[in-house]
Amino acid sequence: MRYCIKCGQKLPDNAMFCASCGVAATIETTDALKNKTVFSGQLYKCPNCGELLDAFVTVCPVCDYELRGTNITSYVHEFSLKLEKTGDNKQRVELIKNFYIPNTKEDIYEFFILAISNITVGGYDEEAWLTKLEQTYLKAKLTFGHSEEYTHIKELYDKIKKRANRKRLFGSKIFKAILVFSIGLLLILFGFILPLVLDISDYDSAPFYVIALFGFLPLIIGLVMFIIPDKKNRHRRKNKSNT
Amino acid sequence: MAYCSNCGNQLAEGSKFCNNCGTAVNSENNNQRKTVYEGQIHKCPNCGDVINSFVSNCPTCGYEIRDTQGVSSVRQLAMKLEQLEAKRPPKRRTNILTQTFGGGTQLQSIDEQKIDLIRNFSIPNTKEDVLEFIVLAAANIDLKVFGLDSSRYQMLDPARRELSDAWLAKLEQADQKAEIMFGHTQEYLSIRNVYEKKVKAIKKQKLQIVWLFVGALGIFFLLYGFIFMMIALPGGL
Repeated sequence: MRYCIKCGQKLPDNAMFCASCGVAATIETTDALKNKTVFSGQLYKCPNCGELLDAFVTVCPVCDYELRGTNITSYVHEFSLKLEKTGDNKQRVELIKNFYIPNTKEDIYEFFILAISNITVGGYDEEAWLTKLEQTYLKAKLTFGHSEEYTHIKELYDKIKKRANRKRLFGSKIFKAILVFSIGLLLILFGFILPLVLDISDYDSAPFYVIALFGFLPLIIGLVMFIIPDKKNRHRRKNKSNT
Repeated sequence: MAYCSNCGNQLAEGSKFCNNCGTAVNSENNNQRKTVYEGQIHKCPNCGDVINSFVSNCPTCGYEIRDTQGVSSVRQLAMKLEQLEAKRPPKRRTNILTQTFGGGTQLQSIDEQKIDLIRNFSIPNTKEDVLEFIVLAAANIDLKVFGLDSSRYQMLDPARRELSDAWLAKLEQADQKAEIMFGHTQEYLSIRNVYEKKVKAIKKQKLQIVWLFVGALGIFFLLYGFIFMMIALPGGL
């Protein structure tokens, strides 16, 4: 038994149209005997001359008409609308990680750009965007093969990856603590060893000892930094879980 | 209102499956070709010639174009930001104590939403939109919050730095888009110029603290050496 999709009227099995509203009855989708053709996507044409247009084209290649007021055709738009609706940071992170990217050049490029810019700025969702970057990169590899587009994406991907790794190393708390600690150590060594090496008499080496004393300050600060966990980050995370 | 083709159940608007029998709703007929014309044709009201973006006078008849509307995507973003701003709860009174001891370092959820909106709002692929967003983002980046006084601004309004960061992300997006769209043409170079200038300015601001520190250290050691030299030298004090 079938029903009309527009008015809900009962339809006989062989009906092509609805008897009450005239809408064409859809053919059973489960019919495996017929081969079914699906056109993927839509044709985009120049409003001036009707020529087919690629994505990321600003001027029609045939009539030189500059495209204006186009809609956003990629899934990025749907993604941003969804993101607006979710209020919770945890949900947002999940959405970023799992949002599906269609296999078109436009979508892959758009998500790639979005991921890159969100990684450079950093924030609570940086990790999620790194996952998304990985996803888009793999997709680009599969979709584009070894073409010009892929090399462009690979170039950007490598750059971002390198930057993220560097940030993880130099931006870490431990790195800073070690840096401060070693400055202190260096000052102390400088103050105590240089007079010995230069063979200066005890009286004259007083300024070097004073420098060595100054070295204890960064040494202690470095140690304290090493022991005390990142206060600011902890504070942040607490805020996020509250909202 | 739509109905399920399998069981006749009434479907909620926008549903992709029937919630009675689970049949997929094929509202979009994918077995037909679909054509979409990209955007609209903008014409001169005087002579009817097609007009490009960023044109103030019609190239054919010289008519000065007046009273046009802004780019819709930029308008849409501005509207959404306005709506968010309208939802902001009235400001709590803060006393000096909470101000000085970091009571204001909490980000309001409205600010978080604003930041997410700015960062993820998608830019349409036209020259007009990309240029508009470049201009908007570059203007909205607040250089002061990256510099020496950054902690003071952080205390007064914690969202300021993060909003600037969000606009920086937008600027980078627009720049990347422009590179894909224009290739290495004159148009792209001018956009690139704006982007690089802004990034350089931010870097300069961030380095201020380092230079100050290095300078202070240098002056300190210079004075230190000088004083001891005066004391230690035989002809000195």
